[in-house]
Amino acid sequence: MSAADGILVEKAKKGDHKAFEVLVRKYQGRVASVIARTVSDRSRVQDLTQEAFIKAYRALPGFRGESAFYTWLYRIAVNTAKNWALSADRGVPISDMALEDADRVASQLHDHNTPERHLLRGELIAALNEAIAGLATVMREAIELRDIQGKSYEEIAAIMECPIGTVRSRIFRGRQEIVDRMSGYMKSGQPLGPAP
Amino acid sequence: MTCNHELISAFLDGELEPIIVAPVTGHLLKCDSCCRKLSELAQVQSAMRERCLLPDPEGLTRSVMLAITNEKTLGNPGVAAHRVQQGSGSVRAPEMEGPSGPRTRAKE
Repeated sequence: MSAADGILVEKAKKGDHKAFEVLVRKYQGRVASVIARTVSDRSRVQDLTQEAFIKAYRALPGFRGESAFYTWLYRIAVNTAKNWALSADRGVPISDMALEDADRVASQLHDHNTPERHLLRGELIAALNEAIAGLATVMREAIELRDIQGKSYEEIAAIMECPIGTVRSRIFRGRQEIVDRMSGYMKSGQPLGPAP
Repeated sequence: MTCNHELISAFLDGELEPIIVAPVTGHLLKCDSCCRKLSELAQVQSAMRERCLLPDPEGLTRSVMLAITNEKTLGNPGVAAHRVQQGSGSVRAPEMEGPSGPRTRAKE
């Protein structure tokens, strides 16, 4: 577990709500992505993301830090999405199901892809690609190495032959430019699904 | 420490130098502006990695924290369900499992 997550988890366990809020802010996009792999209903993704974090908060006293916080949170998100999909498909009240059980029956779930989802995905990809294309080359390269290829700052510094501080700066400025270029799109109230 | 959004971006990546992890984390606990920046940058990170965007990350954070606060304050999770208006829509906190029985939810 990262040192920062460790600090936040320990504070949250002691009742510091702000510490849990920082964890929510850090991971809510990734949790939503996990849920959107199973659930296509746009408002439902946000609802279930909220539900996953509330479950995580309740279960936090039992989290011993044996895995990364996000690994633990990921499993809660998967379980939440699968429980919802099962209940929606079968018309039964939702209830907490053991993850093993949810995994076993996951193959029976419907394909929730819809034409609307494909359309929205296309809009997102187009807007995102446009924002990325507008970045200076060094920023684009740094942010792609980090967010798409998953390289560490040290690895990126070696590839780009620059100091780690420069990598950090390029990644931040690249992300900020994307925020600025997509701000209208991101605030349009259009929740967008993931690529397959 | 003062606001430094570059360090917030590095915090998101788990790439802070060990010596500044505690100060940056401590700053986030006190600074709403840097918390909002964290949400913005995390949105971009998710969009890059997964092609997924939340429409209203601020609203989602508020809803989660309100549900948790209500649960704690009321001391009865069963009555903590609530609705929070967010822009054009609303997000309902999930009905919560009380200590005396399983959670129930209206059929979708």
